[in-house]
Amino acid sequence: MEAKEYIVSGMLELYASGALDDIGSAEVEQMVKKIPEVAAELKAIQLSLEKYAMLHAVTPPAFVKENLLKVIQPEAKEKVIAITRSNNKFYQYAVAASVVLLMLSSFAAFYFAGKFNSTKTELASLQNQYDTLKNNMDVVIANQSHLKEAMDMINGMNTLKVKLSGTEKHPGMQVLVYYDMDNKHIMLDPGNLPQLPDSLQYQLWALKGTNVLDAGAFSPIAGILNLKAAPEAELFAITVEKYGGSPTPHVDQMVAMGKISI
Amino acid sequence: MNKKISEEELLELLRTGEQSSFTYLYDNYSAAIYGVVLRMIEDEEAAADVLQETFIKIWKNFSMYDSSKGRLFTWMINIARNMAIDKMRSKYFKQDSKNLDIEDSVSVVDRHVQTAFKPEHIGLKQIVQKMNPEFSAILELVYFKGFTQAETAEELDIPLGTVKTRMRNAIIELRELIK
Repeated sequence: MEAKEYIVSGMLELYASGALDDIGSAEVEQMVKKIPEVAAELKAIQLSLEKYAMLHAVTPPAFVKENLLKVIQPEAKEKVIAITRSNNKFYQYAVAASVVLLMLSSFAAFYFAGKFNSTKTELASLQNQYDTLKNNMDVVIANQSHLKEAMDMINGMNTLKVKLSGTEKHPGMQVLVYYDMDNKHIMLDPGNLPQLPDSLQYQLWALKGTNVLDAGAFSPIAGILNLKAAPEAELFAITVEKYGGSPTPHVDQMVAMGKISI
Repeated sequence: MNKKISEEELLELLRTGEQSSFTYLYDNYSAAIYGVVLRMIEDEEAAADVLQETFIKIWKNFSMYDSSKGRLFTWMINIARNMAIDKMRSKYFKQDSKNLDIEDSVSVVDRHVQTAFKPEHIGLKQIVQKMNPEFSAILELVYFKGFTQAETAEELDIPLGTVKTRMRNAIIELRELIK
């Protein structure tokens, strides 16, 4: 019971994303040690954050690796081989021969170890490229099915196409809203809306009489966006709001609007 | 990511201090770490600095890594995130467009904001698009801006307890979306 309560508390998520102070972190670490279920949950959380982080991959500039290899280069250690003098010629030759052999075989060992490691690295990097390609392919397939869904909706018998035009402050903006009168779904083509800073998003509003309905916040990404359904609408308007949207529109931040004409 | 060397094998190699293990570590993890750091501080030069410092720290402090506390990549990415947060908070690092109020946004609407962060995986956009905006907002603050629980509560104007539950739900959704 204690385990379950702790798991749903949200402490593990905050711990995994580094938002806890030392006291909170120590508490979580205690619980993880004590209860295996808690440890397993934390592991799952960390794994999903890892995957999320992996999705952000951007190849870093090459000079970083070059700098790093210089920094970590181990200082060459000098190996001293003491050769004791012996009057016996045979031993002198034997020592000389074994030193040569030793040098040759160490050289070969280094050479092949290096080859082996670079092959391993190449293989891993190919594997990574393959994973990225496969991942991208999956997304392309998903995109295609989204596009088909959008096409079906746009071409639906009872789908209205509403043109939204820029307000006085934002002339030239053109946005298209598709409103399915059957199931009240809304799709939107962001047209030429400019990008916003990360902290802001556009928000679509469906208006009827004095009723203002939130139809969802969005960032202008090329393609057709799925927004929230609105049970009724006469007019659509777009405002700029904080990221995630606002409960009511900031009318002074209106960018575009358009009326439904049947 | 599919690793051809298992994490255990890699750890063993790293413990011996073998230089090739470091190269392997860098080749496999630097892009993910750099991407996250770049997303956090949005400055290519500063992000490259942080990446370099991160790997030096990883190399020097490798003996402090405790595999019972979490996976290697989690440990590395947390070192990188902490360094990026320190960098963001250092007084020499100016933040210009980050703290804009909604009131200032009119002029911003027409400004094309270019960020340095351009992920190579096209899957990221899809996930962010599908995510509940409330959840992506809290992840943004906590994971990428390094806000503590209390700072997040203040920024979003919600109680401390709500930060916990919202963060849990955000990560549940994330798990669902990227499984």
